[in-house]
Amino acid sequence: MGFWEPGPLVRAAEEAAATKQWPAVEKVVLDAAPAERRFGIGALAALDGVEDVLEPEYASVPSSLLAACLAWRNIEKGWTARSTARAKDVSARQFRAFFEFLRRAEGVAFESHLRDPADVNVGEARIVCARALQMGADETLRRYDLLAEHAPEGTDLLNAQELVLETLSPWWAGSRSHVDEFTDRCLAVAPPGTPSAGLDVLRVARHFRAPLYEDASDREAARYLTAPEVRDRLVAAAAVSVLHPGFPDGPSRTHLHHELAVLLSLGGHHAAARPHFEALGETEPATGSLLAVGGRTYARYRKAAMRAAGEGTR
Amino acid sequence: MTTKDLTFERTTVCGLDALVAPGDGELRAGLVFRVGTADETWATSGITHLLAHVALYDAGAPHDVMDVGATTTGFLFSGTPGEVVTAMNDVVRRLREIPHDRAPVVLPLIAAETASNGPLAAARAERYGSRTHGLVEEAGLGQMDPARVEAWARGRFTRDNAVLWVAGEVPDGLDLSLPDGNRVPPPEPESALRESPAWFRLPGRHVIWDAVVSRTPALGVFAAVAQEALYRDLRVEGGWTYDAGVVDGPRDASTSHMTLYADAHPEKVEVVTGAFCEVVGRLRAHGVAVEDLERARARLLRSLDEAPGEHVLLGTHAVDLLLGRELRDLGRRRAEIRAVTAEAVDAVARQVWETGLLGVPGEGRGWAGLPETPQVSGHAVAGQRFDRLDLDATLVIGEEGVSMLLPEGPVTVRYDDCVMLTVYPDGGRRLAGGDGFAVPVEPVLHDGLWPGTVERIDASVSPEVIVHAPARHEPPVRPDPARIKQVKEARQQREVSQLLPVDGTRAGHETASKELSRRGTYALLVLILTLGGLLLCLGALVASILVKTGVLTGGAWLIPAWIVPAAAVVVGTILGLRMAEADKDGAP
Repeated sequence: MGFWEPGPLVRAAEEAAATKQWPAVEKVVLDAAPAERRFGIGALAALDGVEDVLEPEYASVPSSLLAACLAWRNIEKGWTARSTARAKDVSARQFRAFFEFLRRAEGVAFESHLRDPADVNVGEARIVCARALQMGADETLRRYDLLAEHAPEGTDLLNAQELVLETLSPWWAGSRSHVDEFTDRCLAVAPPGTPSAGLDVLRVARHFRAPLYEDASDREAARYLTAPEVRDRLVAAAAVSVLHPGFPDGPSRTHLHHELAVLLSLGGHHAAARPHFEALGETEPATGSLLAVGGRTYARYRKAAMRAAGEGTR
Repeated sequence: MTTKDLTFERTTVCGLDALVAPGDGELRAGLVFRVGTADETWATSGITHLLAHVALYDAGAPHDVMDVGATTTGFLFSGTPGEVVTAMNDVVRRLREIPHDRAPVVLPLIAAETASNGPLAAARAERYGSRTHGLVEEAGLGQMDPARVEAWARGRFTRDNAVLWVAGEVPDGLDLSLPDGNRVPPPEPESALRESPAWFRLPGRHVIWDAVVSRTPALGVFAAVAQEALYRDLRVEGGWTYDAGVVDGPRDASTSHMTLYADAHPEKVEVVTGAFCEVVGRLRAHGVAVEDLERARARLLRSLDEAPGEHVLLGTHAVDLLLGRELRDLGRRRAEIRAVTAEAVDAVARQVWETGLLGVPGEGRGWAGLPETPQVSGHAVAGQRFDRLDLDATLVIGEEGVSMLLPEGPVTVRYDDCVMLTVYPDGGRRLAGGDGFAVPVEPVLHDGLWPGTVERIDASVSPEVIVHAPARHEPPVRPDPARIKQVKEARQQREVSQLLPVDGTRAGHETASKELSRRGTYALLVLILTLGGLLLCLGALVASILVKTGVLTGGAWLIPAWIVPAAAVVVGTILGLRMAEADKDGAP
């Protein structure tokens, strides 16, 4: 199941949680391939009261999966209490609640990491906790490095890398050079045809977004994407990742295609965006993406890409 | 008295308990008393330190030292037998006949020492508050009077509360005539923590994990294992730390304080904290590996084997004797370390975790999921309320104590737990509680807080804890009207924000959003009714004048033109007042 079709997954999670039985809840996650389990965990984490099923079970069998579910449930609760408003518009009371839930998430993830440092969903929760609990860029990198070191060979680390990029972005605890340094480091060890080989796409997305946090207009920010060298970079990144014959199926494929489609379209490189729209098929835009665009805009981009076949980039 | 099975002699010298063993070179001796900072109170804290300085001042050679700990105070001497006798007799004479005129000279020395209090002192204050082992600030030094110092010396620096140790021959000519007294048992420590492990903010660049553990032989083995793990992970592999290790010291006969620490480059404090917590967590979760245990054991045995003789342990034995612990010589210590099992080391690791107090520099919080140490008291007193004019806080003066109600919760000092009430000449007060919390009472920062009310506080605490402080450099002043208005608005804003739930549920959030929007609609309705009604009334007034002056004719329609808007105003006002009333009741 793709992540733009959350409906069935959410329904499955709701039905499983309603049974109040852990085996049913666990099945929602375990039915998916390892790289897609985070969507099941995410769907569960969004359910009010799911902790009533998770906590007693975790107390008796503290498995990595339960730890991941509980950690993400607490992260979700923290952000609900905080709201996604900018920090200046969040009350001290909301912040206290946010830190309290994130602290609980950190506690569960910490214990689980001691037992099993290879679990990607727990490792990702640790990266998010480090960001929210203001532990800084270096600690985030240390946590990522531990995950990369222990995760089984062939694990898709693209999502973990993107979570790190978020922390390293200028609007959190980093800067443009932090983003570049980390991306270059990951790319240097990413074989072609693997999800991590497409990390350059996510770097471009961050460089494009950065001016928006300094109150630049969408048009000003998009100017960066119109540059031919940025287009070439995206095209090259696509060639070694999603367009590479060995690239694995899974959420990273869909994610990279989506980001490439939107970034290239925003830069006006409609022809270059076409293979990505084609790969995505008739879908809605992703809602969880940093590059979330409205349905109408997305449809317009899609149409422009399909029309632009063989007409150069404009 | 002589104990034959020990490799040192336990005897009596000048009426004092004494421990004697052959030395190796110049004569070394120590005089140790069962008194320390943990025996003091907040109002007298620093008194032992002051007395020890006054006693040693000018006595002995420059290398003679004294050491004021939490539960024992020692004077250490070395030199020729003649030098040691002179210095020791001098110190004892000064403890007997205190030269009070020396106090002003030594006070700056003590202040300088206290100012360099390190992370360990911070951890003690955090764990114990303003009592026993938490008394690290020596806050009472400002109001020491000779009578208090005399009384302290008579009660604690006595023959029966002291142990003499000598590494070498007991020299002739010792005069250790001290008053008779009692061997005072160590203070019963009382934790100010509500749960552990917990974390607290530690300024500087050290990360520490402070714990209370049972005094078993496994303690030393665990410390050696932990030291190696910290060094390996943080210095060798991480490269972020220069110095990492473990320190421990006895708290009483059966427990010790143990502190794991690591320093960090200022830019690496977060990484060091993260890795540090994982080391402590792993030691607890995974247990000690056999090879690590054996390496630590071998290292400890080697250090005991390399000890030149029993005399190196005499100072330790003296402390143990004063704390009421059985004495263990080198041979017994060796045997105990050989017998330490992995299970015993694991038990220490668990105890270290469970009693842990993590001190962290930097901005991060919630490390390893630990809660922060208490930032507010668990309860508030009931009583008369006074809003602060300069910040969003409310002072409560009650029968049992005072509370300051802060947005994050109440801070309370009960009168029966007040360890110091500072009285300033400008009328201000500061109440400090045994748990480390303090409440300021500043008449100029509240409306309606009259001197009579404030003086009632003075009458409610024990007279011994009242300290009259000199005039403050910057006494508080009443804030300007703009500030007062700003604070009032912030308070209202906070009260409104408290309507939003922060339980992390989506349903709660949606309910609150609906409630807020319902209130918005209601408020709009009230506004329209009242203002619209008033406007129409104005219209009716104008119309009435026009009719009266004859500009308009007729007038039967004037009656409803008055009644309808007037009714709207009345209904709007009633609804508005009801809304305000409901808000007041609903405000937490």
